[in-house]
Amino acid sequence: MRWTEEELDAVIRAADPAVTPAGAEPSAAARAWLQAIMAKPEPVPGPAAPRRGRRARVAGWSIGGVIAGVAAAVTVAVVVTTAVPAPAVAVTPPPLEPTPIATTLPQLMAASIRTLDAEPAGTLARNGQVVTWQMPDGKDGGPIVPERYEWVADGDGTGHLKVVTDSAYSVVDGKVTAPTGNVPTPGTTVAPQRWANGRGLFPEAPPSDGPDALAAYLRAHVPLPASPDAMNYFGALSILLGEWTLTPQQHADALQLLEKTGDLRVLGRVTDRLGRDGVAFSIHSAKRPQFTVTVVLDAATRRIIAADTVYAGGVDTIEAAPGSVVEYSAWVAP
Amino acid sequence: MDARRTAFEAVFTRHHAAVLRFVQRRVDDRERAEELAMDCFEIAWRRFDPAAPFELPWLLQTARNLVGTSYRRRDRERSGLEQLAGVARERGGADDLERLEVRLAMEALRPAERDVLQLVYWDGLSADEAAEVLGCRTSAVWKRLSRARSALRKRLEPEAAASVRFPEKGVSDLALD
Repeated sequence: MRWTEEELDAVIRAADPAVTPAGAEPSAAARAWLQAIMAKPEPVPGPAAPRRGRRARVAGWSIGGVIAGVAAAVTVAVVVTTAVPAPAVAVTPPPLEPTPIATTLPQLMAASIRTLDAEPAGTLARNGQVVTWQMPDGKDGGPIVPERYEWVADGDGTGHLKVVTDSAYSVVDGKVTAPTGNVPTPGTTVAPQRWANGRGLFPEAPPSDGPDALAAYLRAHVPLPASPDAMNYFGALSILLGEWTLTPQQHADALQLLEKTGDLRVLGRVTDRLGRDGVAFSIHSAKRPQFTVTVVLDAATRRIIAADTVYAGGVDTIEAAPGSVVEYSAWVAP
Repeated sequence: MDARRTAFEAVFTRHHAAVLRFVQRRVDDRERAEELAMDCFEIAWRRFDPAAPFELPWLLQTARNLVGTSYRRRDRERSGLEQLAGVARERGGADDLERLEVRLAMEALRPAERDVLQLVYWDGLSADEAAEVLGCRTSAVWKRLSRARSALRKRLEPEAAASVRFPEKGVSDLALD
């Protein structure tokens, strides 16, 4: 049997073994039970949700019992290290190290957009290539093996993603070193990555009509939240950059879209993970304070060339220190 | 305090069935499932603050913790499902067989994949909400969901291994958060 995506959705839903109908009203017995619960002595309200996992328990104990400011937090770290087996912390790439620049965000954006607008028109192309890494779930680290994703047109209007391993490396004392242990040879095929419809997420060409048109296009192709912020939009843009080579004007539109929808901060000059000179800014989201995104623009062309997702803390299941890079992408010319 | 009671009763009315259904899938004794669902609402009542009302993900996370280590249904259920699937095959009940085989295939998935499928398809949660229940990033939910669907399809359709809706890894999916 071969199910379509919709049929698979339907059979999964139909397999639900719960006996109570969805949306059923509580029974009279359940309502009576509720009244009994609420008749007990009044509780002290507290919004904290139950927390799970090893990290959650350690955090709950340390925060509840010890913390009284930043100085105490240092003490807590020592106590946790000595009294409780330290949680495994994933090996992550070293963060980029920006050199501060005396430029405000509006100045940086204005200069970047001027540079992009001054470039020759460029050609929009249905291709993209990105070297990327994401912190794996449930593993404690080891050599970092980035992957290279390439959108390959199949000549019939469809395409597929070619995914191969890139050069692996280890991180020792925060520095990149030669990989230790068994790592795949660069160029090893990872897995066939084929979209169900062969058309990717962005089969239609992106517009060149300004940031609002770009925002509408992104919303039409990616299931964004109702009120996307810059972090949401950048997530969608990063997928787009894997499928299309944008024109300088479209990069300018993207910068304007990010500037008008989010909390952006200048970081400074950086060298990205592929050794390219760039200038970086960060994206912050009130809805997603657990992460920030570092966006790198090419120092000369001001195109978006790389991005890091940086963990800021607050997620029990991420076993990495705040400030760790948990994902990065570096886009390259196909 | 009346306003607090009224607000909580509204939460109870809105989410009782969803919490009960969540527990029923994990506890095979129906009375015990009802008790656990009410235990969940008792905890919720103690913590309820009308100024910062929690919604279904919080309740399901609480229910998940309550069921927690006492959850021993899977092995028995899997064994029972296999027997039932065998009977259904012999008797030719196509719809029942399909449901049983899907449930059996889901039971064979990795727990992280099974959890995300159940939360999204059976509990009707969004990726954001499922992430809250599971305590992971929304992007991880999307990845797990993609992997889970692919793994389930492989179990149900061994010949259809290659086609997946999303690439499993790669470019940032913060857009979906």
